[in-house]
Amino acid sequence: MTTAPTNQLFLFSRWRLLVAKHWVEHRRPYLLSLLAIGGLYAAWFAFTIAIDAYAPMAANMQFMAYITGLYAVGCLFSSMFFADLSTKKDALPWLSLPASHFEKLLCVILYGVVLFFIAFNVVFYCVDIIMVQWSNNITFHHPRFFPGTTVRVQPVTVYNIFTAVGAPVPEKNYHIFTSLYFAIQAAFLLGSVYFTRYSFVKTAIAVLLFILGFAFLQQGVIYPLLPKGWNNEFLDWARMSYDGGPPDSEVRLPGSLEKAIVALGQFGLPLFFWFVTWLRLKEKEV
Amino acid sequence: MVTIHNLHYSYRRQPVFAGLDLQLQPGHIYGLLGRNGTGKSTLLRNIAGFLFPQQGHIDALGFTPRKRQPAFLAKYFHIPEDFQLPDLSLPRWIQYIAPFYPDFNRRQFDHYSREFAIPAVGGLRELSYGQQKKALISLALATNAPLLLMDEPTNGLDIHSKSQFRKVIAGAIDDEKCILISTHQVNDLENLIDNVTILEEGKILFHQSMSRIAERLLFRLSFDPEEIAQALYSESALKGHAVLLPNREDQDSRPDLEMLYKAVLLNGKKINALFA
Repeated sequence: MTTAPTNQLFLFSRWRLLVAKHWVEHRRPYLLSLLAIGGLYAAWFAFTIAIDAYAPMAANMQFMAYITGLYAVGCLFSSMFFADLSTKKDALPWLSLPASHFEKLLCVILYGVVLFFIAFNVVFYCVDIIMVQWSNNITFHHPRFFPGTTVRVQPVTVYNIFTAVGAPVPEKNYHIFTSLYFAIQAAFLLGSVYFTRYSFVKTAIAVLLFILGFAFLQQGVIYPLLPKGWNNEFLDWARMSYDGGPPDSEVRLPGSLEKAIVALGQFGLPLFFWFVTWLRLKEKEV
Repeated sequence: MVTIHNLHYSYRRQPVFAGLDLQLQPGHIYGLLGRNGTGKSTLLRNIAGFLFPQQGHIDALGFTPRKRQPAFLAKYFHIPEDFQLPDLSLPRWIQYIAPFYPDFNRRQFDHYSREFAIPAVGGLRELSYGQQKKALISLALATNAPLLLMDEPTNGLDIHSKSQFRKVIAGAIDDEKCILISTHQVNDLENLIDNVTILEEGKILFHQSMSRIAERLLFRLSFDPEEIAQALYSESALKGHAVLLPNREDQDSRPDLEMLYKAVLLNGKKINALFA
């Protein structure tokens, strides 16, 4: 048996070739997609500015637009990466290209996860900053007042997705949606290798079933076990006061354990899904 | 160079191979002949590591193909029947794919491109299917990969290109290389291959070199009814009957691949007995 002369798992020079080849073959659709994303955001923001006189470009709306776009485009993009493996004419050249499965997966992660996330944020904020400025310009030059009051509609600020400010659960100091994004995107990447046809739909159904299962666990199993009057939230159990103030009683996991669980979701799950994707790639038959 | 031992492979409940053994040596061009659906492409994809043997073992160039190690992938080139080239120009495609093959030779590629008259301007996807195939064949040969697997390479090539293909392949073979060509268009491989392998129902029905075939079998036209009746295979031709006979008197004849193929399918046991 011949021993392989070079590292058969990862060689930077080989990976660099793979990255360059991927870019030259896909740059056109990638750049067009980014332009399309920017155009869609600009159209949506312009629409909301036109129809919403009192809270144009509100932080909440920016947040929803960002999260919806990130999840929809990111997961769709991920599920397309290995879709080629379902057709022989695309799969055979890809599998026979002299690079390891690990290098091929790393190349996909670089484009589909790292560069996509950076490019998506750049496009979103390029559009968002301009639209927020435009919206504030309108409210500055054409002052608006809330109906029946002398309260003036205030200018809005650009929403910062990287802080907990404006997040659904600000006191937890993390964005649960962005934390979970990488795990869900990694699940879609795995789905594109696992399912040979309709991978996006099938993975979406699988993720939905998992979420339903989790919701059932929370509400159908854990909640009935709690004393009467207690709320059940993920990693947080509390008896709320009726005046809307802080909870009367609260049970939370120790801070380090809570952080560890969040980190597991944020970093552990994507790593787990990528690892399983790598195993599936190695076993892929065409 | 390639050793296949006791290969078992099936698609779900449809068995393709059940204990196939085959050896391919360097310095030869093998023609893999067989009807549609007899497992020619499946065999090629098992050798290339796209499919995994369910039982048995394949050794190709000292590697286990199913591991798809980069060192192995760089030493063979597989030309599938159906393929898609990237949306790039020919020079740009070569610029980005050639570095993956350490023995790629640019001069050779230019030579083959000229032989095949592939236009260098414009995108690859603007080329016709036949021209795209010729570009892929040129790349495959210029990589100098010791093992070349070709699945129906002449499909989509016009008559002139088919003869260019034979010329180019004949010029590319050397003692270090092994070329396996799978086809059901037997005549396209005439005067090119030096070994014939006939696959039928997942088994190697016939596996001989052309020189041995010429030595043991006689291909000729006959008008003698007795000879026609005793032939291993016969078919009516424009003049008389084309017959396949045992070559008992060491006569010279030019093997007719199509006739041999039909004869082996019809009378395989008797023909193989002549080579024992």
